[in-house]
Amino acid sequence: MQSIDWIVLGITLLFIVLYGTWKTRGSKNVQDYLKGGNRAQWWTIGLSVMATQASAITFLSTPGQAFHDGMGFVQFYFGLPIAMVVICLVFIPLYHRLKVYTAYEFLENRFDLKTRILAAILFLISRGLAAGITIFAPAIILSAVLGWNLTLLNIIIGILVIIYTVSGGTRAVSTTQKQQMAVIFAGMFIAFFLIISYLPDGITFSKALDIAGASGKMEVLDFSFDFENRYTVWSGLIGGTFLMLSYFGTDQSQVQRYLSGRSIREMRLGLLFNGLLKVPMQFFILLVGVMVFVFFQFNESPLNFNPIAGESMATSNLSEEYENLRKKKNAIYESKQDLIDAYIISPEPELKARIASANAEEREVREEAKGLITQVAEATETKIETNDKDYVFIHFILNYLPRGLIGLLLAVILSAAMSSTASELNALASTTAMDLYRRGRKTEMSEMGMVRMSKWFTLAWGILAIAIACVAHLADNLIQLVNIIGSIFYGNVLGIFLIAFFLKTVKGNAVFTGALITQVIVIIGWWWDWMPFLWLNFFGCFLVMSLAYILQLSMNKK
Amino acid sequence: MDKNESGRKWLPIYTLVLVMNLIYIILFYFITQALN
Repeated sequence: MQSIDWIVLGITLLFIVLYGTWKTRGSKNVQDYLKGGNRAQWWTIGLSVMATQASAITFLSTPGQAFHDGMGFVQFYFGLPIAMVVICLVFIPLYHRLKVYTAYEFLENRFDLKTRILAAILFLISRGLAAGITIFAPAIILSAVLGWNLTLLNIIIGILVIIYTVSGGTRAVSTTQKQQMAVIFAGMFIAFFLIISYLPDGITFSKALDIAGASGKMEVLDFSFDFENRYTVWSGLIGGTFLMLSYFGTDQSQVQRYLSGRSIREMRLGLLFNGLLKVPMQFFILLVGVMVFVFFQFNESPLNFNPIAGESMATSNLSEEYENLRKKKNAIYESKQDLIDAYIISPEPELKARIASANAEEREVREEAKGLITQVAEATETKIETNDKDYVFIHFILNYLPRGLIGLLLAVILSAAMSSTASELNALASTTAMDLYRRGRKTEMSEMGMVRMSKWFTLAWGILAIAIACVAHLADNLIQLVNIIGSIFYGNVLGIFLIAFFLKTVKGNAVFTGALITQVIVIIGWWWDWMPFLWLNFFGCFLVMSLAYILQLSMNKK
Repeated sequence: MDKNESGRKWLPIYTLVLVMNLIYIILFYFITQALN
């Protein structure tokens, strides 16, 4: 990193934090602090919803995913527009009419207090842990590639977010998210056009697509019914709709974004804006990864993009084997050059098959290298990430982008981390303040008193998120653990909301008892490994709806 | 529930969002066919 990169990075982040804090200072009441005074317009809501979902990992991991596996990941988002329409039709009118601060407040209106508190606590546990990981996940990658101190980076990201989120609440979150999205879009577009310009003379964008296609990276759609394959059109349309419905409809970190809307019209337009833009946006981020792949067809790439893995192997007892694999990969790279040159002049099927076979061979070599890295990690009892997809794009940024732009792209990654974390802290504080603290008080509290308490809760959740981020490296597979915890609770919470909307005869006691039994069964199911953990979402939702319905029938008979 | 809340006048825009999603999928289908 050169001084100019530090200046670009520092000025971008500090401007966003200071402007956001100054512009949104002085909330007068709870509505101002937690719902942004209901002043947000549709584009603010739309950008805020997108910025909340797009974390730093979206910009680090997604291009790497396309580099290794192609464009198929975009199918995961096919359910999102459908979910947006359902939320506009069913969820928003109810939330708006009841003038709720949190999604869980609606549950007390429909069922009872205990169901509201149960759903709020399930949200606080899963989102509280996730907030720490939102900071930790990019910090560990940046510390590995840049040599920055991991704990210090966690603390800096956390403190920057805390400053404006505590000060300005929801309005600060959405104000900063607009600027963060501007930085993100600008950075990604510049990176995309630079990659194209770095390709050799004669390799146009269209030819680059041909090369990517010949290497199997442009298989966007998969219509197979293979349950082992995570990304297909069907899993995107069915599983994606279900997942996005629970995320955007019942997760307070998203619900709070559209509850800040000026009117029901602005809320709906904001979500529909997200529904229209999300698929092309993900397609574009994946396309950046595919272009990085094409770039590395003409430039040598490391055997494993994680620099820690390379360094560990160089000093290990398997260094010779690793070096041999590196030479083998380079030989494949050399042989591919002639094939690609010939394919560009005359795209014959035989050449395409040979390119595909060379790529398969290269993939095998990379897998063998991962095996060696794992052996060394086990022998030395150190943790080394062998899956290097998170490191592909940052490797390209640091080694090939010009001075100044490295700083801008790092600002993209940190902006994305901050925008997601800010929404999470804001939602955690709102839920704690409104669903637990204010609802649990016997006496009314003044508006300014509640604003002060909400600020304290935001600060407390911020400190907890930093603490989780700082100890995260001590736990094995913590990111996976957070996903598992999410899957254990998410389905149950969505089930409770679906009962509220669609099973009008089911009452509070049946739902509460059903939800408790479901939670115990889902945890047992996870413990005894009944199914892959992602399916626990669907299982939990189905179980709570069935149990609550049956319990209500038996209660009616009594 | 007033007319605005009922969502009926929103049907064209909901349809537009869903049709756009379908257009994306059709476009991706042609990209997959053309480049593979």
